Amino acid sequence: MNLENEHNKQQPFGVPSDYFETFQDALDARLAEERLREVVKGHGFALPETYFKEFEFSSEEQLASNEVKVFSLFNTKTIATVAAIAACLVLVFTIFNNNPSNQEFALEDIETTTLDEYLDSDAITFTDSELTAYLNEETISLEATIEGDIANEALEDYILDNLDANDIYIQYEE
Amino acid sequence: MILEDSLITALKSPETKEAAFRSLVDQYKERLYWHIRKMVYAHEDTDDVLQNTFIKVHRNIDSFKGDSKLYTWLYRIATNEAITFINKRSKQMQVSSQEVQERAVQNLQADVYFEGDEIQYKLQKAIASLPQKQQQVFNLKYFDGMKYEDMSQVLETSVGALKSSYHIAVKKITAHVLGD
Repeated sequence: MNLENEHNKQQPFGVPSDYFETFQDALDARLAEERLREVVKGHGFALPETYFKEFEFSSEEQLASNEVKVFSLFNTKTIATVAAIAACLVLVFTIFNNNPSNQEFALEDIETTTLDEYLDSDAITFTDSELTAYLNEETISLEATIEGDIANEALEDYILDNLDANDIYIQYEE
Repeated sequence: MILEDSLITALKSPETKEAAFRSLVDQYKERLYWHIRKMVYAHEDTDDVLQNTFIKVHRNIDSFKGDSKLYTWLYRIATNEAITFINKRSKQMQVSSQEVQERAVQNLQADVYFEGDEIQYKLQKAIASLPQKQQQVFNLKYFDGMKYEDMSQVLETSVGALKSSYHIAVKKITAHVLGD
């Protein structure tokens, strides 16, 4: 007769499935912990005397100075700059290409800084729809960009600098 | 001390949010400070991480759904902030995160805010030599007396695995400190 099973049948209580299997380990750990506490009193860390009294969290101040900057991989400004440069190049190329007196003019003759200055001067503006007209699937392919242009290390740096586990966790919770 | 449910309600109401948040900081700053301190070791670093933790809490309190206890949610955010801090430092120093912690412990001997004796220093050194998960389990159980069920929510690990980690951690530490 199995006395243990007979005993179990007589009482309504249960135990976690691996309780008895892990009991010895738990007891050993507890005994080791007790010995440790006898020998080592406390953790030894100290801190400035008035730290907790003075720890005032001024949320508005702190939040203002700690706003997270979100850098979009495809932010509007970048797209606008790229599209505007592309549009200008097409425009310049078309004008000079159709003018026989300027046949010797080469695109390389225009300095990028000149184009940048022109664009920065706000002499030309684009709406979102105008900008998207200059973009095709090839230029904005996310897949092509990630696989082709962004090295794993650069991506890792970006994630480390701009995201953290809490952001991901909180997004996941939402 | 304000009850957790009332505190959460107050935190989610725009009219009472700021006052409730101050109360939350007041209630939890010490516990979270010591939790973080045992992961990053230096007082100045702990202060930075603690500030970041409360900023995250303030910014995301609306997304807290109450599926877990408020205090385990706070511990989880503090833990993640401390890990993020260690990982960033490890990237800057180009060493492993464990190496970052071991170096931080070595610096304790010259730290004005460490008043531990030789055996306390030895204990911190032993903890830092453990894998990160075992360190967290040991600190939460041994120093904070946290229940495994709550720890399971903080560290997203099953109770069984946590118990096993703790048993291993205690054995390693006693062997290191007491020379077993």
